[in-house]
Parts: sequence; structure tokens; C-alpha cells
Amino acid sequence: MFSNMCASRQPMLRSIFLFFVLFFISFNFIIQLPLLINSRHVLKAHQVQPIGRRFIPLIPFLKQVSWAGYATCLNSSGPLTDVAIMGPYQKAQYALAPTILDYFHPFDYHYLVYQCPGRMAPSQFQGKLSSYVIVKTFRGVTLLSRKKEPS
Amino acid sequence: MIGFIAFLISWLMGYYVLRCFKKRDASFELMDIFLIPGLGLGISAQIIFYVLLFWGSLAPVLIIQIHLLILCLLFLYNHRYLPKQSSSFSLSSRSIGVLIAILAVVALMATMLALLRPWGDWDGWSFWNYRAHFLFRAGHQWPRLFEFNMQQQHPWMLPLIILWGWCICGSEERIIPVAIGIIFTVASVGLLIGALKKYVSFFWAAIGGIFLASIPLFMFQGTSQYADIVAAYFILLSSVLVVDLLRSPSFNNAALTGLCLGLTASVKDNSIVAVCILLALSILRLYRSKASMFIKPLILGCVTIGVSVVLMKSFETLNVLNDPYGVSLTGIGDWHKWLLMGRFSLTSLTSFSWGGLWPLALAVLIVQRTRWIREEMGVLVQFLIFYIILYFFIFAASTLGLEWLLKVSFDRSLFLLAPVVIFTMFYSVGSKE
Repeated sequence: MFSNMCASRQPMLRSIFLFFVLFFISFNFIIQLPLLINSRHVLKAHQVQPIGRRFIPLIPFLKQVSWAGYATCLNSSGPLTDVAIMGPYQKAQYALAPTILDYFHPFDYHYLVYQCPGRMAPSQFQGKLSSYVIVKTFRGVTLLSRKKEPS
Repeated sequence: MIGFIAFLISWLMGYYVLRCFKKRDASFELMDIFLIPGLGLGISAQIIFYVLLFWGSLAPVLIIQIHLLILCLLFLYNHRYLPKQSSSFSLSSRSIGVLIAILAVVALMATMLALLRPWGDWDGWSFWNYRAHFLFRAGHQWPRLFEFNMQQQHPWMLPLIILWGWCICGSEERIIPVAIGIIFTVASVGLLIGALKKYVSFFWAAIGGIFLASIPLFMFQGTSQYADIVAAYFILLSSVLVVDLLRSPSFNNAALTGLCLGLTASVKDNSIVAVCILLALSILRLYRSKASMFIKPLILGCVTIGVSVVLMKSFETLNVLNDPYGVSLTGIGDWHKWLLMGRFSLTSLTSFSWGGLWPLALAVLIVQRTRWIREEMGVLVQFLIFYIILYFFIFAASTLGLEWLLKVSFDRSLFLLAPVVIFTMFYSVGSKE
């Protein structure tokens, strides 16, 4: 009975459906309009900053390095889902590829990439690693190296 | 701009491959135009994967040579053995004008949104482009990509398509991932219009395409350089081909559907789930309708591409040293999780970003419910329902924080279904019983 009723009312249902679709289309375009108007200010090629710009000075030192540790001064109970930690880490991964940065065991490698937005001196790491600073950038990134190969 | 030669070569390859699957007397339809880019780029990704696997490193010259060789062979085969085919769009010049206008507006909107974010969104650069970037730079050390896993693993179609563009350019051109996002966004709208045109009038097909393009999440996600838009395109393609196969089963239709299902599985883990459901449903329906002889070519086509997906997944599993992700079946019994998922999905699906899609789809599903049971299109409704239910179970079983997981993946998991939902809705309303 329901299907017969629907079949006989198909043209009306179509009109109602069309009304709602057209309403949603108009509404959707209107709410997207500000974004599209703003997109007039699209970035030009020279304005696009490379991903992980702050890690780029480290590239020459890690060219033939397969693995390096990665440490940050930020702490979190869930680092995998913490944007403040994963953001710079993944930017570093991208910029320094194909060198793989180990976040979980940073002190197991000859090299350590240390990132700290507050530009804190990584003296505690230097002591722990018995390492020296290879390069330190003004953006808070330090590349440390062990004095001896890890046994 | 030289990178576009890569897309052109792939499209030509897609065109000739599609011609091989067409019956001798069959002509090209509107949908086929939008099937060609996906088919061609998918085959290019397969070629690059096997070069990486057997050659041991990315060899751009070899990849270009293989592409040109395959293209020449396909060209010779098509012109030697296949009759000349004509197009049967059955569209008036006015309709063609409307179609071109719709696609031009979509392309313009997609380009504007894509250029606002030249690096794409988070996973765009940190996962998909990172993979292409790593494979491009690592030489013979490329398998090390999987040694340290901080994100979920997925098959590699999108990074391989990006690599194909970079192989032609010779460098990591930013425009390639941006262009891929735009191409698949426009192709998805075109494919939806073309697929709907087979069953409903051009008016309803065009309205369906415009509705998809108007959804804010669709345009935004399409240009974010994620694999979601590629997966959405391929899931729509596979769904439409499955319906076509059930309506008019033939050996060629079955093999092409299988091939496209295989390509769909090589995009994302979500699309592997979608392919498993679609394949199971279509085999069941073919078996019931006494057309079981077409199951073999369907599976054969799927396996042809599926081999590479199995290799990709096993490669990741064997090489990965740590996996921070896990599942716990005890989570499924936690009703707090289901309550949270219910609340979240209600808020999310009725938000502005979905543009009214889900309330409308639910209304059509209820009103037209008798049609789903009787017609071939019912396979799509079953697919949509199974996929959504399965994903709720996956969310419940995940060991990651549910709130965070829903926030980052809920919309994206359903985004892949948006074109299929619109296709099903407009078919149901626009077609005659």
C-alpha cells in the first residue's frame, strides 16, 4: 500500500526532493562564498615556504645518515595525537627524508635532532649522550652527535 | 607544465585499455570519458610499483620507456584488431554546453581552494606527499620507508601517481599533487553526471553533479591532497560498474569491473574494506541471478591488480618495526563508546560541512525503501549500510582515543561514500519505476 501510494505520488515527491536539493545547493554555495572570495589572495610560488623550513640547515649533515634520533623539550601524555609534538616532528621527517627520525628511542643513534621552540640549550642531552653540537639554528633546532659510536 | 605530459600519457593508456574492454559494436558513453583518467593513472601507478619492486629503485627513464612501450602496443592492437568506435553521448549541444560549464566552474573552485593550500592539509604533506618524497629521494633504500611507522599504513596509489608526474618533471614539482587533487575532484563530478546519465535524464544527472560539487566538505577535502578524493572517485566508479554488471552481465563488463575494484583497493585501507563488501555483494547477486559464469572474470580482473595490493600490504607488515595502532575487541562492548559515536555522528552529519547530504539521503532511503529491495540498485544501499556499520565497529574496537579518532577520521571515512550516496539518491528519485 505504501509503495502504491509512493508510485502515485512520485511526481510530487520529485518536486519536493528537487526543492530541497536546490535549497541545499544555494545554501552551500552561499556559505562557501567568503572562502572563495578570500582565495583571491592565493599564495604566489615565491611566497610558499617549504615544509620543515627550520630543519633544512641540517640536510647537509644528514645526507648519508639512515637513522637519527628526534627529541623535543615538550612533554605530552599522548604524543601521537599531540599536534604541538607531531607537527614539528613530521615536518622534520619530511624535510630530512630519506633520513628516518626515531621519536621513541632518540638516544639509540649517533645523531640526535633536538627541537625546542624556546631555544633552550640541550645541555641535559649533551651530558646524557656525551655529545657535541654540530649545528644550532636560531629557530630552536640543534643537531647533536655522539663523540663515540654507540656500542 | 611538463608534468602534464605524464597525465596525458596515462589518459591515452586508459583510453586504449577501455577500448579493449568494450564490445566490438559498443560505443563510448559519457561516463567513459571520466573513467579514462582514473583507469590510466591507476595503471601508471601499477607500472611504477613493479619497477620499484623488480628494479630495486625508482628509475624514471625506465618508467617512461615502459609507459611508451605499453602505449605503442595498445595503439597498434587497437588500430589493428578493433573496429573504429563512435561516441554515443546522446546529448544535445545545449546539454554539452551545460556539462562543460559545470565542470569549468568545479575546476575553477577546486583550483582556487587548492592554491590556498599549496602543500595540502596535514596528512597531505605528512603522509601521502611524504611517501612520494621519500621514494623519490631514497634510491635503492626505498623499502626503509616502512621501517618506522608513526601513522597508519595504506596502499600506495596516490604517492605512485605523484611519482609518475615527478618522473616526467625530473624534480619534486609542487604542482603535481595539487593537480592530482583538482583532476580527481573534477573527474568525480563528471563521473557522477556520466553515470547518472545512463539511468536518468540529463537534468537530474546535472543537478546531482552540482549538488556534489556544492558540498563544502567535498570541495575542501578534494583539494587537500589526501587520497580520500582518489578513493571516493574509485569507489563511485566500482559501484557504478557493479550496478552495470548486474543489469547487463557480460564477460567484458565483469573483467572491467574486477579491474576497477582492484584499482580501488590500491588507494586506501578504507577502499580495501569497500572493495571487499562490493565484491562479496556482487558475487552473491550474480550467483543468485544464475549468472555465475561472470564471477570468474570479475575475480580474475580484481586479482590482477589485487596482487600488488597484497604485496604492498605484506611489504609494510614485514618491514614495520613498531606499530602504535591496535584493536581491542573489548571496546565493542563498551556502551559509552557507542553513545559517544551516536552523539558525534548526529552532530557531524547534520553540520554545514556536509551540505544537507545525509538528512536528504535518509529521507530518500525511507520514502523509496520498497525500490531498494526489488532493484539492482539495492546492492549499493546494502554496500553503504554494511560499510557504515563496519566502520562504527572499527572505531569502537580501536585502542586510540575515540574522541580524537572520530574527530580526525569520521568525516573522512564517510566522505568516500558521498558520490555513491548522491548517485543512489538521484537514481532512485530521477528514474522511472
